[in-house]
Amino acid sequence: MSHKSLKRFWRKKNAVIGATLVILVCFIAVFAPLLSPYHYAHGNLNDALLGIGEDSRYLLGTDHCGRDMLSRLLFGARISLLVGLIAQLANTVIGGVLGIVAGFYGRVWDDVIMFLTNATLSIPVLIFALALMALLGPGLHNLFIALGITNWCGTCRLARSKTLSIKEENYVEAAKTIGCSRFRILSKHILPNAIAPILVIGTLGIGDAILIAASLGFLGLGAQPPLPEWGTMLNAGRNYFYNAPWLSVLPGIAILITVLGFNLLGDGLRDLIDPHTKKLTK
Amino acid sequence: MSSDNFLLEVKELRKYFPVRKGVLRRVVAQVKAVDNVDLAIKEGETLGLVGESGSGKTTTGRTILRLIEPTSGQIMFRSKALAGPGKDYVQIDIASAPRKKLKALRRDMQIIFQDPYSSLNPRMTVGAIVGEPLIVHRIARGKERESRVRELLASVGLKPDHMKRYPHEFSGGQRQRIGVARALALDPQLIVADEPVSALDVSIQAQVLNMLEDLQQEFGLTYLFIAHDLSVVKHISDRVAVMYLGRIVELCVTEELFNHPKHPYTEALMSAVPIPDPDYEVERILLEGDVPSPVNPPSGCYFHPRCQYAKEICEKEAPVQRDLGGGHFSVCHLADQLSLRPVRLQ
Repeated sequence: MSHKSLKRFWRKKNAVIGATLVILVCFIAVFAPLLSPYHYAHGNLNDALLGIGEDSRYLLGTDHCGRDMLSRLLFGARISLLVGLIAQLANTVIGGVLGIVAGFYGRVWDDVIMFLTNATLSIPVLIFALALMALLGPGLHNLFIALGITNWCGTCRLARSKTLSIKEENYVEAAKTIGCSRFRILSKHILPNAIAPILVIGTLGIGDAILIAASLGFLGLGAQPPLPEWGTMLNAGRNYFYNAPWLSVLPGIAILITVLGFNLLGDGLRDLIDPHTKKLTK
Repeated sequence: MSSDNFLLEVKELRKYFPVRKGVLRRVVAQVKAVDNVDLAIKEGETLGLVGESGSGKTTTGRTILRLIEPTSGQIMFRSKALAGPGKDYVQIDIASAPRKKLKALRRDMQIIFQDPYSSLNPRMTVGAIVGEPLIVHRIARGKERESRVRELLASVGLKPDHMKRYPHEFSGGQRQRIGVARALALDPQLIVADEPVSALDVSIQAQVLNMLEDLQQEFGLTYLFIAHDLSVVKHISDRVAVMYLGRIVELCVTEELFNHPKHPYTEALMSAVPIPDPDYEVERILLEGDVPSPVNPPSGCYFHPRCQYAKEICEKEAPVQRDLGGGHFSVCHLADQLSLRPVRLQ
């Protein structure tokens, strides 16, 4: 990113807020062991269900097992980020490769890939992921798999349409005229020009992935206790909602902040790169 | 036509694009973008190719380079790159050349594009753009390639230190020069210039045209110069071919075409040229109607529905290309009988 576009990014308030939130969550995730006063799985049943500020040892209270909520929330950032990044990386790679292949090679490739995309798109992502988790069994690793292969359709379509439009550019024709191989045209001319919007869509999808991971956790199919996954925590707190609402509300706020951060950042990046708002790529 | 000194001879070239419709994508019609084109270019010559939008000029140029696969026809080319040891050149049909030979053939023929903005990859430096042909054909590497790129940039009037910059840092005229340098990198014989100056400011047009002429002298280039601006064509071309609806209707030496046009379409086209003299009263020939669709062209002579001289024969019979003497070809039944108005340019 050049100096100029960095400046333009700085002028977008929403994007800056998004970036700040994302950096904050990343910082927490990296330094969770240093920041949190207790281990996330360590509990004392004598201190169970303490409210926010009720006890000076537990800043944000404790859950039904007497575990420190603050520590669990901080460690939860690790899981959510990991799920979001890994799943979205898989989605972006799968969608990007399939989309570029469909757009560049066309014909049968395009027909098959677009059929696959449309078929996948007709199943709601959450339902699809739910079915996969039911098939694979709950757990963090399966969560990566289930989320990583369900949400690539948007990226695929974008990559395809971008490739189709770049394919018609004169510089691709020039590359053909100087005798470039198909692979060289793909790697040197099409990929570098198609990559920016694909990455932006990828960033936008991180929030989605985190949200779906939390939903699966809430349904008991995601990360399993005692892992402090926010969705799982939300579900565990449901039973005590009338007596101890913070057990559900706090993970909810954590999810909100993280997803909001990624969405604002993604939107900002999209505005930055979208030729309709401003010519950046030229 | 003798084939002694022709670098390129195009014979009965056709390019039809199928029109598909319905669920089964059945071919319901053909767009005859290039319909039976014959032309030949001598070595070192500039052949202008003019015609209005949609007449098939660009498709002709790209089909000759096999950027578009021809439907049928021959494109005989005297290739230096494919010549065996001890031979200066070898005659090859581009239209039927296999892929492997095509890559080597690329060294002999290049293209210059109309739009200097989309013809350069925005993610590559100028050095990488101009040097890429040298990489692809394994001609030069490392320091040698760099010095070759410097030479190329110098020959199109750019500075060597422009190498490290990106295309967006240059003006339209400069970008066009970069495109020319890329085309020259492989030391080609034939360059198809597809409206190379029509996207540029008038003040820059002259500079680029003069540069193209200088380069032609220096490197012994042969140009197929596609354009719609007749004053540009008159300036640069040795001979001119006029296209209408995918066919060449007239082909002759530039002076002859402008002074003694032998096809009614040429006359009408010429009369539309703006003349930079407010006192000069010109009687323009206004053609009736639109260009007919190349999907369903008129019977007989394609031009007859709009031709003010049309007779019965024009509607019934398609005219053939005739040599009216001195290499002046016209595709008109009445070419000998009509006395058409010449045009005053500049």
